[in-house]
Amino acid sequence: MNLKHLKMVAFAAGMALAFPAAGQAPIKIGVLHPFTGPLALIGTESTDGFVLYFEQIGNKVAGRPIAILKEDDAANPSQGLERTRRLVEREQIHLLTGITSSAVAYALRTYVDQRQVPLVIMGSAGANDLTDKQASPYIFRTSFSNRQLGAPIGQYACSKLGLKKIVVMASDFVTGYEQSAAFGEHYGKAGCTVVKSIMVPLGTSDFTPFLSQVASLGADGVWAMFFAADAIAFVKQYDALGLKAKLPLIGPSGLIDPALLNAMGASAVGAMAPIYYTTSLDFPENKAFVQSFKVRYGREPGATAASGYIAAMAIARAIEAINGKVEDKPALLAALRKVQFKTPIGLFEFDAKQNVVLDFYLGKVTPGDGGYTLQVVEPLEKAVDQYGVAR
Amino acid sequence: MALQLVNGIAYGNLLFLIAAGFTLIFGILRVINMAHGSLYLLGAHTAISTATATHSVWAGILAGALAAATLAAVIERTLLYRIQGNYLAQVIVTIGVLMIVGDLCQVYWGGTPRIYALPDALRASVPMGDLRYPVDRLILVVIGPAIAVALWFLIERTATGATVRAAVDDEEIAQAIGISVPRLRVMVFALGGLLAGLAGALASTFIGAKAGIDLDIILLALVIVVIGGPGSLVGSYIAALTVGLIDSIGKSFWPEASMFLLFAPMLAVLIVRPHGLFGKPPGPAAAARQFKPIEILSPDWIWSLSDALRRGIARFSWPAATVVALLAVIAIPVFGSGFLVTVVVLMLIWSMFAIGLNVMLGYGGMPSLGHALFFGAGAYAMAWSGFAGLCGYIGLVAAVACACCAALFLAAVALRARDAQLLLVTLAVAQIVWGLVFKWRSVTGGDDGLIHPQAFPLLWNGLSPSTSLYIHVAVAFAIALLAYAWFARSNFRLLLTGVRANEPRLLALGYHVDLLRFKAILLSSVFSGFAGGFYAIYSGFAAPELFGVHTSARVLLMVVIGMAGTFFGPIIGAVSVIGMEEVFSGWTERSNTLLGALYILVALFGFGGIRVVRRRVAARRPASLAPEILPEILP
Repeated sequence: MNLKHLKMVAFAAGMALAFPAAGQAPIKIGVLHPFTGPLALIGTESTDGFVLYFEQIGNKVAGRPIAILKEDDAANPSQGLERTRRLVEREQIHLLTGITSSAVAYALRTYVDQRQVPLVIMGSAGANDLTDKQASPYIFRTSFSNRQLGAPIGQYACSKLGLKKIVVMASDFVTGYEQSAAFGEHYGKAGCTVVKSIMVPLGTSDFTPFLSQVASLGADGVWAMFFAADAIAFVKQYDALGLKAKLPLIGPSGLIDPALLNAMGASAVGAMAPIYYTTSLDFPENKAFVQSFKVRYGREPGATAASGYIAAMAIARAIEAINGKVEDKPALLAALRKVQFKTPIGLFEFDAKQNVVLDFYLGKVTPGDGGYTLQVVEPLEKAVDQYGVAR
Repeated sequence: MALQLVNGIAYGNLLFLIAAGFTLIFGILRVINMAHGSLYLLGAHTAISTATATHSVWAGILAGALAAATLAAVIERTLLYRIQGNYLAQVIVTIGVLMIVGDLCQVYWGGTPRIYALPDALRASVPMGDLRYPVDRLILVVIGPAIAVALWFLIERTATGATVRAAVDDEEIAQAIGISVPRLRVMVFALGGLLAGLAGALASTFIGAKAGIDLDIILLALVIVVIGGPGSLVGSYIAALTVGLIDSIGKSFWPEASMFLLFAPMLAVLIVRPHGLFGKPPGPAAAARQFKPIEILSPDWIWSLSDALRRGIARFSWPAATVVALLAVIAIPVFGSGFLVTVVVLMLIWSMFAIGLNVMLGYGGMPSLGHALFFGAGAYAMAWSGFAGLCGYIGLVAAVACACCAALFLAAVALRARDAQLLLVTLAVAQIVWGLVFKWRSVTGGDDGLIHPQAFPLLWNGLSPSTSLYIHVAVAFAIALLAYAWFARSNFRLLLTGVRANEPRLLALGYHVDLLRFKAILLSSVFSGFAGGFYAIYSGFAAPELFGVHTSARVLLMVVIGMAGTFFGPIIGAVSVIGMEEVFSGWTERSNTLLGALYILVALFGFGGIRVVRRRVAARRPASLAPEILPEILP
């Protein structure tokens, strides 16, 4: 039992003592995220959003206290599987959430399905097949699928932005392939051509060799998919080499996640992406969320934190709907499938294969007071499902 | 094209700064400094923090270099000096430092990657072709050669350099003529750290400081040092420039092969000229050092108790162990929770893996930092056999066969290497295979790993898959133990002990030592590949980090904890390490720091073992007999 867990359970025990009538066994939710290593940024953001919601409702749902157990997978499939085993078999969790790396998600898929552990993916594990060809009634996703993230700007870039020829650059792993494929498909359907596709190893620090040939390919712009540390280095070097002045930079939302913008600085200004969340979205739930996040953590939330918060909301709704009886798995799954409620990104619901349906807007990085923010230029597509198609 | 060339040269010079420190430390002190990347990381972080706070780039660079130099000096003086000459312990200590520093940097500076943003005044760039090249990278083209010349001058032309070279050539005589070797060692280590920190500080504007870069840096240093020749500064410079150019030009024209481009030259050099382009061939093997055990003074009754225990164990160990094992094997699945069964399966698998390393390291005296090579080979072979539709048992055969092929590959390259050089070479080979597996997505699934359908058939209906696996692993472990015992009682093992303890003597007796070593590597790979096959079924997939440094370091720790060279050692080690990891992770999220500390403690104190001794009779004052006995001699 880690220290956080101890604190939670002590709190719960205290509550149970104070209100003997309400004393019940805690609902254990496991959070599997990278907290160390290159993707630690995403793991921490996502968990911060998740934990915030439960703190706001007093760590209790339907009269039962909530115990959140965090485990570090370091974006490593073997470690992820070991920690999941630990959470499920030793800690006896009722629900598993998190997962930043698609590789980890795939590694867990069989285990979670066999062991009948409800898994709510709230991190950036967007691997398409998890809610498609390898879907399971136990796997839900509240963040996004790779097709969802890559597709929306495809047609827009070709027709409205006037980028007739584009260079695609992506991280060389499953997320990079899937997101760039989705973008390429929609971009191609709109009539434009991808001049070249450059796959860069994950964890690259020096993009100069890859960027040095881009200027001579005769393209109108660059679509780049990079995560976390890679995104920061890429955007800065893109500017330092003078490419930003020549070729507009677009990409999926992970490239310009607000958590990264301060590190990127002025280099990111002008980059555009289809985003499903920004702090300036005009929903009352969003204003409340941004405010409480700023108070609690001293910084503004990004899409990752928002996905975590929304996952927490969805889980809490489902648990309430079944009166806290999480041990009844079929009921819990049915309740999760049916959730529909207002969140900081608007109305939330799952599609038929348990992936979230998102609205997309065109976001642009602009300097704001005290940093850089994502401004909404215009709405892109509403109710995009996991296949990247607007319903 | 001009940009690619200039970038290659600039990057090459940065690589030289990194590799120079590493090669100096290895060449002069014979230490494989696995914490070199941590020094880089600390230098980068400190430079960024200082430069941001003081708004001065120079202050940042100075602070970064000095911080790394200080840490290096501390590591050498407090930790490494105690275990001088024990290259294996030194590697383990530096791995421990790597883990601790990496973890603490993350705690203190957070997981966000930091890149230093130069103030606008200094943010110049030079036009080159269609693009612009930033000056803060261009400047490396000037700094690199300047430092290379300065280093050469320091080592070859100054008095300090002469004393360093003297201490390397013959430490005892150097000490006899008054050269303070401890101070020298600290100085050299600090210099190595200074170079690493300087590199980190200079690169903080484009590479920056991020979690995980410490491992990347050590791998880069490894590639360059292996190519250029360990201990050679000239070799490092040329190798660094070559690698920088290949990297830069290769990546821009052939991005898919980018990772492999780094390792291919290393492989080529290892095959053609194992001691590097400019390195010296290894000298004749020396007799092995004996390690002093830690002696705990105790009163008589404790000593007799421990002595009785020791004799009891010696006489009854086999029957007692068998009885205990049988009871445990039956009791665990029946009474233990599902989680306990899983943990025990993991312990048994890693025990088999550790037995393999013990054959090579403990009995054969060949330290290997790349044993994960066999483990990974076994795991991937099992995974592929699943895709080919073969049954699990044939998969096991395939796993062992694949590991043996890997052993052939390793032996071809590493047979002549000894001691620290062997550690370096085994690490290099494992990294090459890791890079290959990582990059060859179509065959190995690359970074995502292979999720495979392979599994053992259910022994009888109604049995849960995990219990069925447990039975398979328990039976396999028994078979492996029998084979291991047969090996331990064989002539071959005695010969290996000879190879380990005193190779020149065995050569003089007419034994074919290289063949003996080769057989040891082969046998070792059989056990480890066997374990790897089971691991693939246990985890359901195979991923590249099965070939990685952390896996190799972990099994090395297990063998050392359990005492290399003893029979039950690897099993005790595997059980202890896995048990401790389970306990640590339950306490805190900082389990990496605790594990690193464990590595350090084991390396510092675990090599000779612990022994309980009788308290010596207090020395009496020497009787002043001399004047009475020899009055006429003394004045």
